Amino acid sequence: MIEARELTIKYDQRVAVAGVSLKLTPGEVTAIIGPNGAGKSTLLRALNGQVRPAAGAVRLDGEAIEKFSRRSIGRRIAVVAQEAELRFPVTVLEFVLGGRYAWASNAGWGWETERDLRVAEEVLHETELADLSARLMNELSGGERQRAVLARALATEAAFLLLDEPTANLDLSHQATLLTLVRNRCDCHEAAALVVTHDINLAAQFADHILLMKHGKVIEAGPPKAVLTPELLREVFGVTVLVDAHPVTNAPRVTPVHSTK
Amino acid sequence: MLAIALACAQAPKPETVGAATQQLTDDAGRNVTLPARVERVITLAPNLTEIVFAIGAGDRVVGNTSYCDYPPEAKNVAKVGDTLQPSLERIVALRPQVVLISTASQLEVFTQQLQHQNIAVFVTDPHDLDGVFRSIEQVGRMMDQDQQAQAVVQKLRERTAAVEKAVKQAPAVRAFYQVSGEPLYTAGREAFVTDLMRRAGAISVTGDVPGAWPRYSNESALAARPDAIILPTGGSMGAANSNVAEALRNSPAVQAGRVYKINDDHLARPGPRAVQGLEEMARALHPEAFKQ
Amino acid sequence: MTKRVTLRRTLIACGVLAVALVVAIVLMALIGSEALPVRASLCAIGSLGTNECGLSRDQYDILFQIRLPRILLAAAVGASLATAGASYQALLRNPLAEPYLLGVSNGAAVGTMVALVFFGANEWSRPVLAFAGALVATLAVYQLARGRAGATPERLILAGVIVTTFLSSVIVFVTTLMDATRIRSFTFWLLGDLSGTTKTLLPVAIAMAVLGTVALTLNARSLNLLMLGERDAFDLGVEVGRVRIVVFVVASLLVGSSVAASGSVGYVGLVVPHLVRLSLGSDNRISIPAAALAGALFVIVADTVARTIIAPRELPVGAITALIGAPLFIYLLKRV
Repeated sequence: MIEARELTIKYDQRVAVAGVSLKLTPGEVTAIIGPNGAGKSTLLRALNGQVRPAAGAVRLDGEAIEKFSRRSIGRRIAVVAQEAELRFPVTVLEFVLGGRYAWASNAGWGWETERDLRVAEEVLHETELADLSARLMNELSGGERQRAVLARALATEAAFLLLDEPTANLDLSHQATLLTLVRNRCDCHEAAALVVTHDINLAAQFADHILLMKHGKVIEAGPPKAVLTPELLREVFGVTVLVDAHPVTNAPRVTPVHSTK
Repeated sequence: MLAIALACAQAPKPETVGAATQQLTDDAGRNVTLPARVERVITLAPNLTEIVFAIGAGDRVVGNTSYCDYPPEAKNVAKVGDTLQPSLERIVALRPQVVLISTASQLEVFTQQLQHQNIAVFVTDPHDLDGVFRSIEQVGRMMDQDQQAQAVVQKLRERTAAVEKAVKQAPAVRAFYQVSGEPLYTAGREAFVTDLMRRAGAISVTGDVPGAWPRYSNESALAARPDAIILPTGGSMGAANSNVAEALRNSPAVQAGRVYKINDDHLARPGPRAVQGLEEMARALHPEAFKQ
Repeated sequence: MTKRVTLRRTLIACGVLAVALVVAIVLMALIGSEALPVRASLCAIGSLGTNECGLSRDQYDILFQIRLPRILLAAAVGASLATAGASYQALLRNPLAEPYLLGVSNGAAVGTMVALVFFGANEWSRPVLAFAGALVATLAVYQLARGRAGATPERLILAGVIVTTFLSSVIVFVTTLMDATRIRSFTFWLLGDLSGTTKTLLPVAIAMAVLGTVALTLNARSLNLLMLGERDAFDLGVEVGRVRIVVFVVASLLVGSSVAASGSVGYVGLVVPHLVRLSLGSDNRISIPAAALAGALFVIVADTVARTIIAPRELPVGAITALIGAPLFIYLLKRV
């Protein structure tokens, strides 16, 4: 379990996150939504120990996260961020195998074990990239590349997945595929996921729990139906919205109301 | 600075066109027009300074380089910079009538700039000892010191002939001229000192290598097995180059103790003291020939 | 490259290169400005110097006191510079990162100059101060490049260019203060001069090359991840700060010991790692050790050209590496 208590994070003097508490429990998908500058990504970065809080604490399995080595964090927490920088040619398989680094017996040197290869194969299968494993990463389409990034994160066998706007550059079909994979991982393997996203409806579909943030504070937290109300959304985004139920999934559906006059 | 300012204040204007002039051809083949009476000259190389002083016209040197340290009076003359990068401003401020240079390297730009100021540029560039004698006579003619120049050259020729006669009997010594040890530089075909070595009764083992101061291979130096090594050191060079190069540590020269340190200023400057360098080399290489 | 790198592939590739290196050492030892009898030389080399095999005293000295030490130094310098280059490229995620461009070579050169001027008598002062100069330059570049978002590869290259041009001016300035004879020899040295081996510094150069390559190879897996993004590497468990320090310090040591021994031999850190990656892939577990071996080969051959093409005169080896390296680099750029 990852737990954040009263987290306050500052950049120089500016407060990016103010007194936020949250908990990630296995099997659950949590989404964080909010306008730009709400502190969503910063909060995510604090959860894997990359950003140090000015106040408050992050605890991993009950221990302060600062106590863990990078590698032990890497075995428990995986991050899926925007596309990787691909300045050097690397195959999909090599890329995904990078996720096994935290399991290596030696920090800097060593070769992939049988287990590493097996996990990579499974994960490639799961993300439907098995046919592309020998291709170079920069030969893939945007959607395929993002799946590979997810595959690498899944290869770490981490119990916690932190995803920072994973669907930002993907088209419709790929968006759904990616989040379905995350959902499956949580349902089937008892993982927990935290997804920072701009897409409110996607969050409504896939998340068990939503945090609505503005100016570094959590305005409301709870299941989608409780958080996605017109009043709250207007308060946070300054936009008038219509919220109804999705006819197929019954999840809340948010539609902005634009005045065309 | 003050001295220069005062000198400028008292300097006569350069000769205007129409005054008495002389025409001379310099070593670059240029036809140079100079005042008939040269009162103010700047010398841009140590050997040229020594030549002008040697013919008795030292009082007419109004500027020279920071390397010009002989004779001692030359040190008191206003400095215009070093041989490679003299200051044009300083030169012009001293109002010379002619500037003596020995290398044609920056000639074009340099000459044009000075010609704008009505200052003549004269190249004298001796490559061997005969060239030095010619230079002295040439400068003597230019500075109206013909008699003194002839006398100086006469004496130098006598001394040279005496050396050459003395060493004629003995077999020439195979010698290596070490300009610097690490990295290894030596004197090549076009070096001034190669001519001196020949006259001193030596064969330079690098005498047919193209160039003046080539960077030489350690192997070839070792394989050359010189019987004597000349180390130009001291003088304006200080203590540099006082050790034999690593590659020559086991050479016949070192084993026989025939490593001779000679004042670099006597060997590297194509001027009157080169004859002194010649004598020193000859005495070192052929001591028996000079026993009185 | 579509095949994954395994221990077996690495050993084969490095084995082939190592054999090629040994062959090159022996072959180049037979070539020089003075002709040596081939059979006798091979025999003497084979006996590692214990048997003179009929070589004259002079021939033996040429082979074992002048040529072989020089070839070994060339190997050490080539290996050091290529490995440093490969590591910089991985760490900085920039295929153009190279000891010279980053100012490290010039920093080492300034350090060496200070050693020569102030501590001329002490042989050890040169590599020590060269290392210090290299490290100071590296830190200056890194500090200059740090911005809000950390030191991005672009900022690092920019900062490197600033530092290197500044240090070049310092070098030119100090050179003008020297007298004419020293200028000539110093300019030659700055372009790379492998003739100045001494009994103490050659083992140092070789030891540095070996230790440095090993140290960097031991971080190869971390560098593989760093090559694809610093943040990603961090997330996946790489101790980014520690690896960065190791690479900067070890690479400075490698560049420092090379420059102190032989001046700036350019292009090795740029061209060799590229060629290696093109043939063997970007995985650092294979490309770093392979770059070391290939770099050694490259400089040995370049130096043989430098010391024989206008024999008995010599050219600076840096001129040859540039003549080979620059067109090669243009060709590589066009391919990418």
